[in-house]
Amino acid sequence: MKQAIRVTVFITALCGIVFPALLTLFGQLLVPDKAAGSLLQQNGKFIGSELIAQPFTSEQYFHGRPSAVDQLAGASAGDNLAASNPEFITKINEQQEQFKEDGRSLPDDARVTSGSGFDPHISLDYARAQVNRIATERDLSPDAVRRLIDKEAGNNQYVNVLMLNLALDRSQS
Amino acid sequence: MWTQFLIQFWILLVIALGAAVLLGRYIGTYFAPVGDRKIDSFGKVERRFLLVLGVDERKQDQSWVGYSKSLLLVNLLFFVGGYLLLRFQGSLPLNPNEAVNLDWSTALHTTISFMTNTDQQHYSGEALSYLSQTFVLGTMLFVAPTMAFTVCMAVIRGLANKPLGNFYADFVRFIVRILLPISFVFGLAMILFGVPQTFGGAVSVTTLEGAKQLIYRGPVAAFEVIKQLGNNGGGFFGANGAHPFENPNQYVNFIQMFLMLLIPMSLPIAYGKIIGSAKQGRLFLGVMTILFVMMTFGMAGSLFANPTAHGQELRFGQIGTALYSSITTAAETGAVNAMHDSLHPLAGLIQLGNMMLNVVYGGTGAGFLNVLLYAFVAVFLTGLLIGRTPTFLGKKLETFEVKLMAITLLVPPFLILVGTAVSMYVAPGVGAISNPGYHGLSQVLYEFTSATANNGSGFEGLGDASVYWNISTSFALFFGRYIPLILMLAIAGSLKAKPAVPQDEFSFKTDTPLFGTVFLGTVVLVGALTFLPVLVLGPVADWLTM
Repeated sequence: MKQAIRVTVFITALCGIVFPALLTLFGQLLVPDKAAGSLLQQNGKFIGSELIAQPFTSEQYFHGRPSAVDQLAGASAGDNLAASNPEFITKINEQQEQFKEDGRSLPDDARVTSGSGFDPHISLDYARAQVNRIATERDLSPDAVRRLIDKEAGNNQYVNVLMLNLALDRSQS
Repeated sequence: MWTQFLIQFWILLVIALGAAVLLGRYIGTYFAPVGDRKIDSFGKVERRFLLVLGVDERKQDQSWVGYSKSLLLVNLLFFVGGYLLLRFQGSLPLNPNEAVNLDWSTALHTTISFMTNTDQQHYSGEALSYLSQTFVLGTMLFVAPTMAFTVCMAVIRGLANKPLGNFYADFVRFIVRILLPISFVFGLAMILFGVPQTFGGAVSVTTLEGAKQLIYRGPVAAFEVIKQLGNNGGGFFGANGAHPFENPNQYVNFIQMFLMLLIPMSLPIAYGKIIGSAKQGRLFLGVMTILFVMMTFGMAGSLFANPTAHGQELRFGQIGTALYSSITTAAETGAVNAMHDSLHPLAGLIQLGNMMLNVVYGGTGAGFLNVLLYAFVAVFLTGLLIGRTPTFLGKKLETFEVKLMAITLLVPPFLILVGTAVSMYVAPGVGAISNPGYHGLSQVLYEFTSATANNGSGFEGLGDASVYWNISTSFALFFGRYIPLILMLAIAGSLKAKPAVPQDEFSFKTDTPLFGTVFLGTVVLVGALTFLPVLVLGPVADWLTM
């Protein structure tokens, strides 16, 4: 019994206190910004995290993927609807009908919810489908908007919505 | 898509196997029976340390009963401590987000779930204080895999006809020598790649459109790294590895998959080293890898044929999702980077298959114990066929062992099938189903399979945050974990006590491709015969009627 208690206390101190404390310390020393959650600042205020999706509804901004959660409240989850669930099938069909952009069919990632509810990215297809709306709203040429997308996406097939919208704001300031 | 997939899969497999062989040899060297063990300079410090804790390995060799008792005692201490701390987290320190106390059944389920290396979660990670996440659950993430690992080592020593060892020494040694150093290195790597590690509370930010958004964060990296390395799988956040803070990009995704595979792949090698037959260790690793490759191709096929981003994150793509989803169920980790409930029914079939077989590497220690169990069964079956007493490593498997083997083999299907059947019958069980039709059965089946196999992932649409589900799955968690551990120790203890039969040219060799084939056949046959009917009613019917 004595052995069991001593070993339990020792291991708890090591794994539950020393390990996380040491890792926090090294994180703070090496990459304090990343360790704090890759937060973005503007004029001294936090405006979001590079890794976390924030909701966009204004016509002037690129919109992100649908989410099963209230992104402002912070708790994460997927919608967990099965592919065979009639509710899911009706839902994506409705979204397709509401879609007005370019008259093209809606890209897959624009119709279905993400795993976490905070997927910060959209596909290039979905971004390009929003180009005309944003160009009109902001009085920009569609080509300028397309160039921004390509620049933010780099070699990826997806682009970070928050970073793209920030770039959009910067391009007009 | 397939070319890309093959390249990524191949790279991952080669790196993981390479690292696992090195780690396996290391484990084989430093977890060898006391008499054969090499003592390095760290070993001397370690011995002095253990003596301070009151453990003298050389003098306190334990029988299987003593070993089991020590193991259960330490588990009990963690159970009681963990339960109380979760129940009263609201009034304890390190609670910047003002999380409230967990109710009794959620606290009970969570403690059992984390102590059994399952990490099934009926709460959302955002509802816990940092003390609960780091000090309580964070410690359990180290302790839980160690339990099965120590048993695995004791059983291997017994098979090698050596003393089983001392539980406390094995327990401390595995955490100090293996888990902590690897966790530190890869934890730091994760922070460098963007996983947060901070005790600062949730931040409120002003979005570009002027709304207030709350961003939860926390000491995520410390949790994340051992969650994967120890095949635990519990999420820091509700969305688990799909959450961008837990798994921000493809690099972290790759590290996580590597960590999940590392220890389970290394154990056959360690086994080969300790019993003195590297060939047999490689044979087991080979057979497990064949099964793993087949299952992963099945997973990739089902996702690539029906590509969608539903329940998935774009940064991983179909390839990153398929690999992760196969590995997490194969290595019984239970972390998810996509919502399994929303994936194609055939992907669900592969996930369930991986968990039901529970030998496609399997979790730390527990997976390899299952491999040994199936090896005993394979030897027993061939013994029946050729009419000789079955022997494994020169030890006769007789009535006592065969009885225990049968019980160990039957416990998981019993818990899974009876649990599912009862839940499909009673109101609080059926009432939790969120997807209609055949998929509803899959949800319930998945929950019990995941609980019994120490996996912990879920078809998360299931409304399992209720007293009924907390209690019913607690049974599956508890018995699915401890019965096999204790019975395997008993088998090893009994085999050790027997004199070894001299091997002659007529003995059935257990390190040949022939045995590998028989072993593979046994795994597939036993698994298929047990679970095929319910799989047809669940995921297969779901797929055929889509």
